[in-house]
Amino acid sequence: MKNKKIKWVLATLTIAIILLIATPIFAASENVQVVKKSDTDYLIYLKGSLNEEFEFAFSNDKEISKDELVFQNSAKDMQGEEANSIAYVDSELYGTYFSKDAYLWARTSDGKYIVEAESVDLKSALTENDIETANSMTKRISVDTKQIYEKPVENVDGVKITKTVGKVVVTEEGKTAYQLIKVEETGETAEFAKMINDLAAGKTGENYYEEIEISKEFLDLYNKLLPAYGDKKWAEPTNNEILQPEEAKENDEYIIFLKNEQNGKTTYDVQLLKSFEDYKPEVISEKVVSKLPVTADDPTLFIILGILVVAIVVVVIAKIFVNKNEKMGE
Amino acid sequence: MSKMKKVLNILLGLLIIATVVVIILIIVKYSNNQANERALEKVLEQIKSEANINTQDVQEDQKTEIEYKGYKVVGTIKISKINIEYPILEITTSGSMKYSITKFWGDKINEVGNVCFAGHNNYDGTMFGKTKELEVGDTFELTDTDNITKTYKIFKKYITDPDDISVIETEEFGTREATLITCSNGNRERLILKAREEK
Repeated sequence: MKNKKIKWVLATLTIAIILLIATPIFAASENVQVVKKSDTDYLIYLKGSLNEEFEFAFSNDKEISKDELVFQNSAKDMQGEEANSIAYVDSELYGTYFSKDAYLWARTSDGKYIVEAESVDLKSALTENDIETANSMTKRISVDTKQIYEKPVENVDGVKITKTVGKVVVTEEGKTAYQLIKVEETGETAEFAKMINDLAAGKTGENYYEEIEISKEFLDLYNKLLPAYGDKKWAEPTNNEILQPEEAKENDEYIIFLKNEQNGKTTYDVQLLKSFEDYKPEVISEKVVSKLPVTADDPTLFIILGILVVAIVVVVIAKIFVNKNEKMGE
Repeated sequence: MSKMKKVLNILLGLLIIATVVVIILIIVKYSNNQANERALEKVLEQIKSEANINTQDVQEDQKTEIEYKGYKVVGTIKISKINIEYPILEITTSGSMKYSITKFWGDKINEVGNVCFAGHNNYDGTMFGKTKELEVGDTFELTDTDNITKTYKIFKKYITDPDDISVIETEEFGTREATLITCSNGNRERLILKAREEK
């Protein structure tokens, strides 16, 4: 009886494991980027196919036979020579396919498939405004990152030590607050710091597909790494200056998350703060030493004792002399 | 008895009384020195016991500050060759120097740079009264308030003028140095012993 129960449990477990393994896990779209125009209208950019016409089709069945797909021609995302070829979702397609998981197929005019059964996730699609926000990061709140600050540290051995530290000066009007996180050598902070550098240098991607891809990655990391949205964690710069943290070492980098409130509008931005540890010694004369301390034992009592002894000797001699004179006089 | 003889007898009597008084004052003075030495021994014991407590994960602001006669103690100096060990008082004044060795110049004890210590050249050999017996190559120990002890080896011994303030300078930047200062030839000269951390 007991053995039977164990067999049942084992069988159930085995089936559960098989089912788990067999469940398809769909990776995020790797070859398409989606831009949201409205709740039912989306533009879909295909990697490497921005400049060529193609046909595309949707289905909710990932395993559908390609013969059953209903293809339609690609469109352009704008007018003019710089327009990109796109697949799209309009209200009709949205209603037909996007109440559940939908997949995309695309093929060139010669029948070569450029995308097959690619999962299309409209929920995480960026708006044009999101992309514009990401592209303008590092330029949204006016700051001066090129300044350094010579901070007096301490006086050691008669030498005043000043430490050159990195600082960011906020030059934007309104109320600015910030949060800092350290950039690690590897991982997400390092990746984010590189993206900030690229954005500051105007590197927003080779084409619109890459621009969307970078923007998405940037905003994802921004939201992930920002320590807190709440007011408590935001610090206010002193005299509009954000200094490197006390514990910062030479070449440490910090990501500064900035928030500016002006005329009822809140703007967010990021910057990088580079740390220095350049100590500058400078001889000072805070304690003036003109003479070494007097460390001799006070000889006054010995001098007085000496004088007294000499005086006693003199008096004794005088007494002997007087005694002698008296005896001679007698 | 002649008048002269009477005057001399009175004078002699007064001189003897004055001499006795001065001798008593000298005895009192050096007895006080010995009493101070005994009190300093207790301070040293207290420093050692507090140092043991302070090294047991105690926050900086919770460490006990030790004072002697109203002067903050910043460490100890031990010179085995002349058998002395003293607390080091934070500041050098004529008052503080009566009680112990004092820090005359420099940052914290055992920090990089030169720290100068002053001590009276007492006739009874207390304080720095016997430092003239030290030679180049001899060592002494400095212990800071974190109970960290470093050994310093004397590399220079010389007599200089009281106005020669170059003794406060660090001879080799980036090293720990200590300078012992005491009077020599009465108050006319200074005996300087410069030492560097022995590694």
